Amino acid sequence: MRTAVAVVGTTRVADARADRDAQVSALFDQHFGRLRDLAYMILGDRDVAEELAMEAFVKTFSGWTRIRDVDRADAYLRRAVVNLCRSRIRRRSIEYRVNAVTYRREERRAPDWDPERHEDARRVWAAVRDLPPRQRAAIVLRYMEDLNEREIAEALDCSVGTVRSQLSRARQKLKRSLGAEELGDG
Amino acid sequence: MDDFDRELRRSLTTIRDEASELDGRPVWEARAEVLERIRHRRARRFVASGAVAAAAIAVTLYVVARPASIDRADELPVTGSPPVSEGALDYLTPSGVTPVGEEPRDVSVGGRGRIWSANGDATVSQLDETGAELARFDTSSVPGDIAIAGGPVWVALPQEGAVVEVDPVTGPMTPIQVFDGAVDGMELTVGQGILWVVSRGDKLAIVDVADRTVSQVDLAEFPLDVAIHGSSAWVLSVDGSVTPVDQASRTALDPVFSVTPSTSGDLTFADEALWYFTGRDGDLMRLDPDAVEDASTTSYEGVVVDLAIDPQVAWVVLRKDDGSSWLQRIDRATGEPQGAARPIEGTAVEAAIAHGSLWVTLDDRDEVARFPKA
Repeated sequence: MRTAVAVVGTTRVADARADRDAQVSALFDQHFGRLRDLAYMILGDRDVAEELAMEAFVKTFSGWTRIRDVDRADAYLRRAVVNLCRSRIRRRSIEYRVNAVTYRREERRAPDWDPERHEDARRVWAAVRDLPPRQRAAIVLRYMEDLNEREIAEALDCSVGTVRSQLSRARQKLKRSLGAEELGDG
Repeated sequence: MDDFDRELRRSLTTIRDEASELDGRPVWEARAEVLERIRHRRARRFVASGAVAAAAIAVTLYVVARPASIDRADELPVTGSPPVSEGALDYLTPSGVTPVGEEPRDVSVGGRGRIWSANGDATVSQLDETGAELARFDTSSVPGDIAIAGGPVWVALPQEGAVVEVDPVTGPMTPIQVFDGAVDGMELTVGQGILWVVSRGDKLAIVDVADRTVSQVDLAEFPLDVAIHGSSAWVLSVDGSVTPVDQASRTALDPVFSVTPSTSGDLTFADEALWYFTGRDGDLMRLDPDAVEDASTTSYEGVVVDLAIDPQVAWVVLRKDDGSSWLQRIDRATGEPQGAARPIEGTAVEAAIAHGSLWVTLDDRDEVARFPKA
């Protein structure tokens, strides 16, 4: 009897593992690119962003035998990416790949490359990356990910009120650092 | 949504779209690695935690053995995650908290016994021994590391590649330009009239505090951190080497130690011991400079994010996989844990010991909290 239970259990665990792998694979294909872009916009390093997006999947799903709430996986992953980005900023790590990334970008400019437009965008992005980590993440989640305040609060693990104040402070700083006119506020 | 918002959105999506066009790692390859790491981490958890594994297997067998469960294959138990409920944790309660600037990072002690925090909103806060904020000074950009020896308070300004002395009464003085421009990060240490400044992963510079002149020190490897011990500054480099630099001649000597190479790392000298952690894992290394072979490494659960040490006690700040912050008192002589780690509320970034308390910056709460150091 005990043997029978063990065999059934082993089979079930193996089946569950295969199911979980299939679920993770599907979620990976669906969300990886967007999560990598989110990390990139917060950190500014493409390779680190890729590494953190992958780590978000590992952290989120390695403890689970089966993903029960697939609809919520997107929110879990987004929160994991934001947390990892903020940790990376805190950890004061360094990266050497910036030059390589810049080189690749220069080599792969799109045919419709508009220097003026892209330079303006980079100036804005540089100002965003000068914000404190939480404000930086809030701005990217609001303006790039199009999340509402409740969703941003979930990703940042804070209250909606905190999100409002962080976005307000961040906007004020951006206006100061970039000048209101440049961002169309004049 | 006004013009400002629209322009912000347009700029960010432009950058994102530009980045999306870049070559990256093939998705199939990244996916395969993620699946492998998930399997590996699960296996490691079971090996590392025999009791948890046994309990999990017991629960699994119990569920499998239940007749009613046979037809419910979609409800296998979840093990290991999500985080433990807060009610089950024995939180360490601070004896006081002080609101400071936004997202505080470094915390240091000195300059008339005051506690200083470097805040993410381009300010530094000065607290007294009770935790009262005496002053908050604007810095010209977001401050990084703080170094204090006796009176003067030195603050790194990585976005400017500069350092600035902060007078406890009047605030920041004129910044000293150390590097050509913005750097990824800066580490400072000060002693014997010299301020040592590392541009992480790039250069080592020294500032003569008396006349404020700046000079560079040539190193064989890219530096990460610098600490003072005896008559030398010791430089941690990305290859894991720890190299003394003679203060008088300001020349690098041969490397003495070799620790785990990493692109991040923290080096601290306390008494006669050198402490090192990468900030990427739970390993804390303690080295005796006079007996390198006696090096010991203690592995903690989670990531060691900071070490606070004084002549009586030492603590490490830990961050667990679920993002929670924990404080662990450790044995100063060995690095081994003393008692159980205790969780705290908030995200702890750095810690320092002074006035009988452990002072901890909580960057998600914009606070400096103090805990009884013993």
